[in-house]
Amino acid sequence: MRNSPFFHFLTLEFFKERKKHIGVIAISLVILFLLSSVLFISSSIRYSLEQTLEQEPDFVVQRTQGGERVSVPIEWTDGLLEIHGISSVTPRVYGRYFFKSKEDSFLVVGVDFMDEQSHKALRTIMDETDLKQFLKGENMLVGEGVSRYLKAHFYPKGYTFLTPKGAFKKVHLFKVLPKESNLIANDMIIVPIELAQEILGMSEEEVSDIAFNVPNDDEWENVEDKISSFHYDLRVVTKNDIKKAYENLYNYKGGIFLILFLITMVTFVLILYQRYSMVYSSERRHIGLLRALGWSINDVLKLKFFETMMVVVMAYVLGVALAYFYVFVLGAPLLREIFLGGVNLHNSITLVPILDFGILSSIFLIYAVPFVSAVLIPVWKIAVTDPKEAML
Amino acid sequence: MIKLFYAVGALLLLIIIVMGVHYILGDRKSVSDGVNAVAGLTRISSPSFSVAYCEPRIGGVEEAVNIAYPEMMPLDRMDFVYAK
Repeated sequence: MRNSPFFHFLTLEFFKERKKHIGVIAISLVILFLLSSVLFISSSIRYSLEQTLEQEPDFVVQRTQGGERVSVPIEWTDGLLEIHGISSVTPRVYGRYFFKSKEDSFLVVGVDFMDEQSHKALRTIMDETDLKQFLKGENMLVGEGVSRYLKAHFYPKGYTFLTPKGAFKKVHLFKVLPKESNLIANDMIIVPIELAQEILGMSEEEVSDIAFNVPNDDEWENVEDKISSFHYDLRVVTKNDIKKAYENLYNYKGGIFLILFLITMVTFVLILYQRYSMVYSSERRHIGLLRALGWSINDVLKLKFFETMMVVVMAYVLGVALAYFYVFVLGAPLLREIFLGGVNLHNSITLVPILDFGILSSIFLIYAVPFVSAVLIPVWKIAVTDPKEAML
Repeated sequence: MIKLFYAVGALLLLIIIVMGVHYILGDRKSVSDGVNAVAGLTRISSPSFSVAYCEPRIGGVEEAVNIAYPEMMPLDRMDFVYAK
């Protein structure tokens, strides 16, 4: 390749026109960087959430009233336990608690620490000595966002909750949950189930919803039908629904990102097409000269194709690499806020490096094909005209 | 110019290699362990988005229909057009 005159001419041509190429590479780089960053963040969050699906219960039974979720009577668990094939029936208690004149809210989650599964999970978070101490008094585990918020409002060791009944409940801050769990636990306060019921104003006979597993997958539809016929105001949420919801989270195929990307791409192609269809007189003369020297139309197109591909590949690699560095090394400052929201507590998550090669190749194709055609079509139009006319 | 071309090519290749090494060595386990520990304890895996009080914190499921006693299907959803 090194001795090939064509290759030699191509590199000469490429570096001679470097000013023009740098301009195009810069515009492409910004577009590719933004698009890749958005897709990297969304695929990373989706990956982390999908990892938790194993911990998710197979079914959750909720009660609705006027389209809103309301508390479920605890006696519904007895009905569930009677159905053959159901295991790990766990009542869940959770709800939002307001701080500071209703400006910010936290998610209070009640856990039955005596339950075997919860106890086992708690052991992964703290060692045996801590566990005994934790279960002794009224303690809470909080997410990093909650801890930061409480410290900023002078509650470094605990907080006194005001229950809906007007009573005060002092709870000691026992431990902050690991930073790695921020994706789901940033605004979480984990307390014993009875304490959560008190804080959220529920009676002992009420829970938020009931979770359970059905180990035999073939029984899922049957169990769903059976449970749905128990009550009129009951809603069954399956693990598949949750999985589907995670798959659709920031789905670039149907979301606002695709619309934005299409608008940007079309604008970019229009600019390029206009730029190349106007074709400067020097460019026209250059193509005409090559044709007059005996280059065939194919040779001219080949030259322009490789020149454009060099620009495309350079912009693509730089754009994607810059996005990778920005998202997975720097943690995507600013752009991350669009995904995580900023109305309540500030969340700072660790973005796991995930590269979806399907998405990467789609970006390349969506970017390269219109770009190459926006350049080659005007070049071909000039190349097929008479060299004399082209050089005028 | 060929030398310069090779230099640019080598630089791009180096960028790809550095990215690949970072990707392979990236710590995925500690994040998934941390998230799984809390999800296993609470049995809640809903993402902690910083949403307003009026927005659901535990969300993601839009269907509010009991399959045994379906309410009137929402008409604005294109359910009639696309099969589920």
